[in-house]
Amino acid sequence: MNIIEAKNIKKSFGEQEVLKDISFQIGLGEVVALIGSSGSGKSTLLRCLIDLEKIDRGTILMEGKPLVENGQYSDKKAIRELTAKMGMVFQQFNLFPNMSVKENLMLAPRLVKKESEAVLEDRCQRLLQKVGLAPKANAFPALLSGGEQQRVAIARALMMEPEILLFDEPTSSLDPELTGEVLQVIKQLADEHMTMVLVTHEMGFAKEAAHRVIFMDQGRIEEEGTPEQIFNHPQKERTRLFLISSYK
Amino acid sequence: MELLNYFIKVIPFMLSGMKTTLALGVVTILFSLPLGFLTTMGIRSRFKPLSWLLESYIYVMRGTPLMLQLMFLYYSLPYAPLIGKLFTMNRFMAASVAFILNYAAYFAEIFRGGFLAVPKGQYEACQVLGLNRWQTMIRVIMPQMFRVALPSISNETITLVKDTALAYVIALPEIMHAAKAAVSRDAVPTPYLFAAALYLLMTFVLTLIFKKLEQRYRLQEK
Ligand SMILES: Nc1ncnc2c1ncn2[C@@H]1O[C@H](COP(=O)(O)OP(=O)(O)OP(=O)(O)O)[C@@H](O)[C@H]1O
Ligand SMILES: [Mg+2]
Repeated sequence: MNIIEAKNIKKSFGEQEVLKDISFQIGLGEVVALIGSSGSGKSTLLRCLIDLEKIDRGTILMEGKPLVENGQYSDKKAIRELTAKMGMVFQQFNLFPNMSVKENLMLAPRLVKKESEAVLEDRCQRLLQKVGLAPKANAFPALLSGGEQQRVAIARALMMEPEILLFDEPTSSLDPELTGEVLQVIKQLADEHMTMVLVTHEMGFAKEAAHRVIFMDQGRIEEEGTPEQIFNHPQKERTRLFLISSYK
Repeated sequence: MELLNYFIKVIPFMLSGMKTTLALGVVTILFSLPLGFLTTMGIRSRFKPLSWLLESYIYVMRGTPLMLQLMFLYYSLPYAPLIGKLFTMNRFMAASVAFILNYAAYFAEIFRGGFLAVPKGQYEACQVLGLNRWQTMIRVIMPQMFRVALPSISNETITLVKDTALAYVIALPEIMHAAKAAVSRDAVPTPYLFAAALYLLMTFVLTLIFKKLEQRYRLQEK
């Protein structure tokens, strides 16, 4: 079963066409790595899925229901319901600096979900434990390392119990020695069959954790396949060139 | 000794001036802060005519002297044809209106800067977490905006205390007015010194208050 189905997505910023006829599906429990050179449209694609950007043409279905169909967006309420099933983790973490770790996790579910405080407290505890930050519940983000901040951001997204998590280069603004702890959390989520789409420059991680790799180039999906296919037997010249340059 | 005696004699008069100064300052802060905030929100709104109107309001307020605005409101406006009668105000009223309108414009600019200092990522994080616009604004953006704006608000408030002296030009019986009256009446220069002391006292207290506020906001993030 597909959680997300995108058909013939087109998107321009002014004159520049950034997404040119993109189609793909994401299956339940699948981990998809989105790779490609800078400016190829990976972030834009991800942002369109969760309605941070609007597409000009095409269709995006979430569990079969249209977020947008042939360029026509559904009404606000429907969009809200559909995007509520998605979570997103940003390169810059985007934690709320004026709130403690715990408040960062609790704010949205308290306001948006109709669950009891006890249930939320419980989930908050469990998730902080999961990302290894239970002792930091009362710390403020500014005092945490980048790796810790990103793990808080992941826990915050999980508080909403999304059915799919989108990551836009979650480790790109981290010092190399801190990427491991974040990737480990993502790997653990993969093992628990969380559906994830991950824009990443970490080829090693994509190879190891992804079920499928999509290579984007200049606003198109140039090639997609298993990590084995893409990394060991790329069919397209562009894929090969990109892989060579990214291993340098 | 003589100075002390004179001080004791004249201070009740000076203090009554300070009461007016304080009243004007408090009224101005109470109204201009929210008004400034609303102005910023109006400028940020997608309804362009409102945005333009408020921009020009700020432009006029910042582009002309407060003294002129005071005199205009108190002396000129009552003579305007037709509407003049509506705008006949007593001195305190006129001073309050002038100060509120003027300071709201400055506060609006400060708030605008505060909003600009909040990264776009904060709005995006709120959106993907399902917060609506209102929740985003109240819970996430405004606290951050306010923290950035606080030092400027503090500056502006201290300036306000000193600016109240401008109300002298419409003969509002504030500190300066009292000092000048005492100087003329008693033919001594010392009331100006007392006035300076009173202004210093007020700005000193304000500085302390804002230091505490800023500290508290900073502590929250550490
Ligand atoms: N808000 C925007 N306004 C105008 N142009 C934009 C905007 N966002 C992205 N672009 C442009 O769209 C193109 C694709 O950008 P995008 O961020 O999706 O690429 P990317 O594949 O994520 O690159 P990177 O690996 O550097 O993050 C780029 O040329 C970029 O300059
Ligand atoms: Mg990107």
